[in-house]
Amino acid sequence: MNPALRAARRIIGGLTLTSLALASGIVYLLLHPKSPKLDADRLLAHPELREQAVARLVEASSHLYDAHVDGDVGRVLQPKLDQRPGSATLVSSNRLGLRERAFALPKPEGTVRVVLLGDSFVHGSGVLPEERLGAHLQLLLTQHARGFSGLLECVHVGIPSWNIRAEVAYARRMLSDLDPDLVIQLAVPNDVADSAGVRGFGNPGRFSTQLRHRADSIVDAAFPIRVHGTAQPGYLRWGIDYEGLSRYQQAVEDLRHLAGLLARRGAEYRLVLHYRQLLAIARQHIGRHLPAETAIYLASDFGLDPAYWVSPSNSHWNGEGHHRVALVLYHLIVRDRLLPEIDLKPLPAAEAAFAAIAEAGRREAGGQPEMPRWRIAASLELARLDDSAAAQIHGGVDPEGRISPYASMILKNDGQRLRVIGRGLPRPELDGGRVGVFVDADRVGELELQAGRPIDVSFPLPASAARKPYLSVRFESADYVYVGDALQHCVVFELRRVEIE
Amino acid sequence: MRDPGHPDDRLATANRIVLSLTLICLALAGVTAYLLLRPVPPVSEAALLGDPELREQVSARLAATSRGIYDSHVDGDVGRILQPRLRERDWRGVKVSSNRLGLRESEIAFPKPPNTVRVVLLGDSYVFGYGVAAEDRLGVFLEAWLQQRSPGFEGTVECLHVGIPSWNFRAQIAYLTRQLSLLDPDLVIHVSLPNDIEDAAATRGFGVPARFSSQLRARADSLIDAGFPHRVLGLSRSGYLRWGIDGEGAGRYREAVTSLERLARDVAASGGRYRLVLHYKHYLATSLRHLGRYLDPRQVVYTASSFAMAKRYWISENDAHWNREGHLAMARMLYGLIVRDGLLPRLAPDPWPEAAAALEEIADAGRREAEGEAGLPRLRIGSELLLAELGPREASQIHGGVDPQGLVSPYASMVLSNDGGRRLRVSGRALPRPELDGAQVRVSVDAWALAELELRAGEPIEVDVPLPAAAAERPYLSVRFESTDYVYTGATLQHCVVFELLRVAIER
Repeated sequence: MNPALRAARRIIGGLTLTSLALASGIVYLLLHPKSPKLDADRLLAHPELREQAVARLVEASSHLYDAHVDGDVGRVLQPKLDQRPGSATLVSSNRLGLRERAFALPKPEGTVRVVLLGDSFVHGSGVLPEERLGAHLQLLLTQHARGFSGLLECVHVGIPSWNIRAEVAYARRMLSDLDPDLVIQLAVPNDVADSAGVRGFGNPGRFSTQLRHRADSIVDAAFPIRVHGTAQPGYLRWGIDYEGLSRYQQAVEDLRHLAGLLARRGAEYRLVLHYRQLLAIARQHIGRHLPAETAIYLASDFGLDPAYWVSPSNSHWNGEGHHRVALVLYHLIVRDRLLPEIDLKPLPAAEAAFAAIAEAGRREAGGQPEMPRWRIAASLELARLDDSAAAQIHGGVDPEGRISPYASMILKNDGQRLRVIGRGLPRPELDGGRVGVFVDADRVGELELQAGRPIDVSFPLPASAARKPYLSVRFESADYVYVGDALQHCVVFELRRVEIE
Repeated sequence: MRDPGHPDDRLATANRIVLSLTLICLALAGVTAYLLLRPVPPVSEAALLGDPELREQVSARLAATSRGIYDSHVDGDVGRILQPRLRERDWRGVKVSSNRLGLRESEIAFPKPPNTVRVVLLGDSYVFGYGVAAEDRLGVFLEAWLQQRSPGFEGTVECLHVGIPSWNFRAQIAYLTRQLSLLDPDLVIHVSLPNDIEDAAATRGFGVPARFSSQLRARADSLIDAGFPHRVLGLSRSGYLRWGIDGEGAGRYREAVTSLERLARDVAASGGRYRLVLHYKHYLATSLRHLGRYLDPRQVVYTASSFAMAKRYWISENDAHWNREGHLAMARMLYGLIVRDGLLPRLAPDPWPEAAAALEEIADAGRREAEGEAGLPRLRIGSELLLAELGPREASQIHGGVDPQGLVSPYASMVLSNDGGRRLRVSGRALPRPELDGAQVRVSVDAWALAELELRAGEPIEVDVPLPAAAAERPYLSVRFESTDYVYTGATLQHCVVFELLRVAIER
């Protein structure tokens, strides 16, 4: 064959194959178009798309909690959880991040809505959603309402570890949409403690979003046990010093604010105090500052009966406990005509539960608070903290005696002056830093920090301290340094001794 | 007549076929090239919402691209770090690992081991190495060169990347100063970007950025940043925050200067050296005017915009984060800087012509550029905003805190031009939310608090107050609203609002 012709044939073969390859490529590209270009920021600003993307992130995460934009609230559940293992039970959530079915906002016409507001007890730690008090109460109300044809719903608005500030902020800032006919708020003794924020994998953090500048200085009655490993809880709940009292005062202010707003809307409000052996304290510091009919006390006999606990070591209510409280609330609603739109039939079982739990509770709360025989000392040696000494620390002092950006402790008032002995940390980056020293609400002086330099200062007690049996000694600092393996513990100076002398 | 099978005819036919096939190949190649290179329009919201399948795909991709790697830090000034001990987590196209501290870095020894020279690279996503492998970051290159080119030094050189995406000045400086004596750096090279004066977002419970700042928790979801008009209002232009022309921007720069001065002082007191690298692209003159001129000039380095804007150093056409080449170029420049300024006297690294050239090309050129005319662009800023009629131009005047419905967040801020104005006028309406009755809203112009509103559900709001005399000299003013209380709105009730703003104006 002619060599030129042979070459032409080879070229034709090559070109044919190239054409076929290109044609196949075109067919592939047409069948597999480029993915649409995403402007993630813009698309995520769209509520529906954001919600859908968030749902996928929730699926991929392993823990329960999400941060709330409102620092007073701190945390809610991750939205739209679907049967996620929680503490001892499965947890689902609605789009708001509440353990509740989706409910309409604003409230539809013809609906009677009871809001149950609180923390882990309302959330239903350890029980199924259908075992919770609201489920029982809704059933009771629906079954025994005469001549009511509308929708009646009980809504659980509660997140574990919410304190009163978080609960009130959350309910108050959605009140017009929530539009409750009745709010029943359940308070427990740790409602005056700091409430923890959330970490990036959905479990509680070691900081409060309500007090972000205090870093990891969480104040609560369990602090001595949690941080110092001692056996005795702290005195915060007793309200015997400024730290505890001021928290109760703030709580009362928040509760009054919420109750006032509800009253102006024509809605009813009740506060159920589940304070077990601290019922008289609850009345003294909370109940007696509210209208007499507002506060309901649950008797200690009920609160301390393990028959109503989820386990021998966990006093959250089990299904029966929730049922008993629902009966109490049913009778309360009937007795006080809290849902006037509904004609409710009195129930003997509810009346009996009310007598056994609420009336007994009121009698118990009306007595004088029985203060235990405390061993509260006028001085604390931080190197030698036994159970009773550690119990005097409300928070902010670690086992090495290092003080956090906020620290608070109770001392017996047995003198004229406050003496503070310690040492600046070997951290020059804090040089010149100042620490405010407070006795109760009064700033009595300040410490100036120098790395490694001893601190030995004494301040006269303010006149307001006279005649008070116990005083709160508090330290506040705007600056701090990191210590610890992960550098996530914030400290200011080393405290060795603090004393009212 | 020739036989049709004549070789010449067959050759001619073959040539025609070759020509035809060549043309077909070229055409097919053209089509293929078009299909490969054609621009893909962004997904429109209308298309997404109308197509459940497409929506599903997009939400999956959004979730995949933002799968959480972040954790909250106990220090609210820092806000967020990485989740500790991540192992090769796929994140936005690269693998991300973290150490026990939540940094994208190998484990760091405390205290610093003897005979170690430690360089800390402090910053945000650029130092973190957004979009590149960990081993392609500037510190890796710099560390290797310093070790290799310091023949008289027998110890260890460490270059540590201390940077988290979106950290601002406050987060960066807090994180470093509060562990300074533990880190004990010989040199801190602080890489700053124009968004360092903006609010830094905290973390949600599944490790993605939140819509609030832990530094300003009382402001709820009122995040202030130059991307606000684009991000929230959906309008294409950026805000004016970074220009520092009004109280909001200039105030943030002033606060940054105070923090930077303290950081430089603390580093010097600990025996280290400090350099601030301002990578401000076309804001170089602004960075000098608001930051550089208040600091020790020897401590400030400006990267030329010819480097910053060169797309060969970018990770993609639209993303100016440095790619490997960009990190290499920066590392070379820093090497040159360390040699020229004698920043690591224990090492005394050898001079290196390439690094000296990079220093000249990036830093010396950058300084000349920064010191040139402080050319502000022609800013089209009006003295009046009608919230119902926001176009891109008007939206760019809002620094943050106003949503597309004109609802004002617990903190809101916007810039207005002041052309001889004497009064501030604000019109709005309280929300139909009685739970806010009695709440107070402070109205400020720059730092002057001019009025306090008390809210009553549904009632009109009218403010008409004189401007302070000192405001007359300022061509632009920030109008700001601050409230301590708010209510929730939106589908998930996680948008916090205070009142509805209709109009705000500086009037004569």
